[in-house]
Amino acid sequence: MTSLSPALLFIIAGCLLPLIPASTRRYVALLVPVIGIALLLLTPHGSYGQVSIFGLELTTYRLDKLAFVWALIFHIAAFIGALYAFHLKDTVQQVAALLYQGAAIGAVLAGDMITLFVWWELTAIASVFLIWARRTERAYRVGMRYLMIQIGSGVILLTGVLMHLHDTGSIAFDNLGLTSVATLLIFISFGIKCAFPFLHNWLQDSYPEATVTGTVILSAFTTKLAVYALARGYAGTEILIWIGAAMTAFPIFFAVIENDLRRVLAYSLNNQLGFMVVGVGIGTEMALNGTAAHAFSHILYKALLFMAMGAVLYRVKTIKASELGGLYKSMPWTTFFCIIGSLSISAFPLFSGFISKSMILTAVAVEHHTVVWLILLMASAGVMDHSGIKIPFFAFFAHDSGKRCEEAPLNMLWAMGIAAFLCIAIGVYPDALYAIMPYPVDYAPYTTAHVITQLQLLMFSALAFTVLFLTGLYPPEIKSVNLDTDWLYRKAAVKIIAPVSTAVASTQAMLFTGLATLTQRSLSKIDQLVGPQAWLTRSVDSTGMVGLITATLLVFLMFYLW
Amino acid sequence: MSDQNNPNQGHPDPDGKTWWLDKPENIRLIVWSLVVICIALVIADFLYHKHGHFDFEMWPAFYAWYGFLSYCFIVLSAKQIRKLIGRKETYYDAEDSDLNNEIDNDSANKDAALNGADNDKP
Repeated sequence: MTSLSPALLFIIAGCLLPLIPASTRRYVALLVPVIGIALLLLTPHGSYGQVSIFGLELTTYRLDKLAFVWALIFHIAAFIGALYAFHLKDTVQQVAALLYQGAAIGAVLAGDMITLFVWWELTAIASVFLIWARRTERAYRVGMRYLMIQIGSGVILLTGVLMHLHDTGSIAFDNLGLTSVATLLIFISFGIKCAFPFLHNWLQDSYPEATVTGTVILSAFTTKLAVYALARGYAGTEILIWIGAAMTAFPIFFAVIENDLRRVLAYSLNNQLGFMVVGVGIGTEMALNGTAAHAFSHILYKALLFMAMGAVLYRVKTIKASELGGLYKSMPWTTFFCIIGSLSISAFPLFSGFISKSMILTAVAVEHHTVVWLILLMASAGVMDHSGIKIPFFAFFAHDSGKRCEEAPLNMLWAMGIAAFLCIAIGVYPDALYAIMPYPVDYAPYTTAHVITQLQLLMFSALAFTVLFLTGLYPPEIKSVNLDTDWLYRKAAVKIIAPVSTAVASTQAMLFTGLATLTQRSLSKIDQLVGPQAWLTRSVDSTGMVGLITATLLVFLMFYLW
Repeated sequence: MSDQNNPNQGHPDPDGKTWWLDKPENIRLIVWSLVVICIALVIADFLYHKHGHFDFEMWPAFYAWYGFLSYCFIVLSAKQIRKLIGRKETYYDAEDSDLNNEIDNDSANKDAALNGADNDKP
């Protein structure tokens, strides 16, 4: 029995990592999540690490059933991420990954909102290095945009928490509900990290620009931490049902026409978060179980898909659908694992998505939200398109690009293999996952009706793809970017601000020139009066001086002798 | 018909090898298998007792045509949206993002990586 927080283990290991010889660092990165899981399993549920600071009672470590699900999957994701990045020698990424994972675990295990805030900000600061590690001008700019939004989310959180403390005298991180301005601010802060519609675009902007391994690690933590925070604080908040439904729907249109396949996955990630948010909004025990189960299986298959696309990027040096195709000939294993990820996210029977997403859909149906249910069902067909078909089809099949490369490195294949195994294991034996859900599970995924209806939905979606593709109606993959809300701050705001900043700059320049002229004139006047050449301070030639003194002495002598 | 449709219109295989999927008859086999599966699923719809949460779930093969139509709606409307929001690749950045992919490449080759000899920095 122990009560040592696994988050601290990650942080301490992350800080000490640069002191360890380069060749052992990667083993440490693998070992830390394993020890972390052991700590987690050995800790009885309860609250630990209470400290009192400035009269505030902090609970730095709270473990209960809800937190346990997230803490466990974060550890598994950390292990898979470390294995996938096992070939890397880049200390910056290794340290950043450990600190980021530790911060996310710490946030999930936070019992109060001040502790939550601290970890919340650390996830932002640590994770940006996974983007900057690409060490390009482009990555630097993306990282800055990402950091501003993430830190902004933290500042809003802190404001909300302090107002909430002022209102209620409590910083406890429990169900808050949308009851005041304070809780609204906290809600918005969670919403930014959860990529709510119109607050979402940092995700699609930044994740595809991180390093090959960085994107895999990023995909697991930040957004699912936000889902956890919503489940903890806002379960049953009705507006979340509609926000979630919108989130499942709008990204699928962007995903269809996006050329960068890692960006397609970022849109797909956004769409999957929508299902979880709907579950939180419904707020029944079944819905919250659905959200927890879906977060768990989602982290695995999303990481798997990002790993497969990362492997392609690593080998082929591009991840644009317009440049790819026919890679199954070079990367058969990666293709195989990618297809397992696709089947899982599309929720085929016997794969993980089938047993988790359906819980949320059933919970929605039980509450008779007809429109929302229809939107979610349509979005499920959309998932079949962008992640079920588009990702594997355009990368590995479609028309042969003629590109040939090596299979992915062995450590990447192992990481993908473990994730793929877990996707199938959860799908085949869901009871293991259901056993750790926050509430008792009263749900049987494998009914005749469920299997047949789900297969109908998916196979007819596949049929629709086949028809559209063979008739040439399917939009071709072309080199392009698509405008999203980031246009507002990358173009529009710049256009508006540019004249202002030019005006400021020119006014500034004018003022400074005026001042400089004035200073120059004053200086030259002083110079004239007391400068080296001035009459008052001019130094007289020493020869002349000696001559003068000699002459004086001579005159004196003459008078004396006189 | 776009040129993506026919796998044989791509580059000739550098290895000179013909793969199973390279043959058009095999593609046809896959397509027809899909059609057969879909027909079977529609027939299966009548073979068990339904009890959905909504009345419309009782309609014959509701999930099948709802899936088909949703899919077409999503893809075809996305195609129209592209006309509105699609831009050239260099719209935001003059540089091509593919130029930046050297960071993770294998130049610090596999053996070196395994021996812990050098760094992934370019």
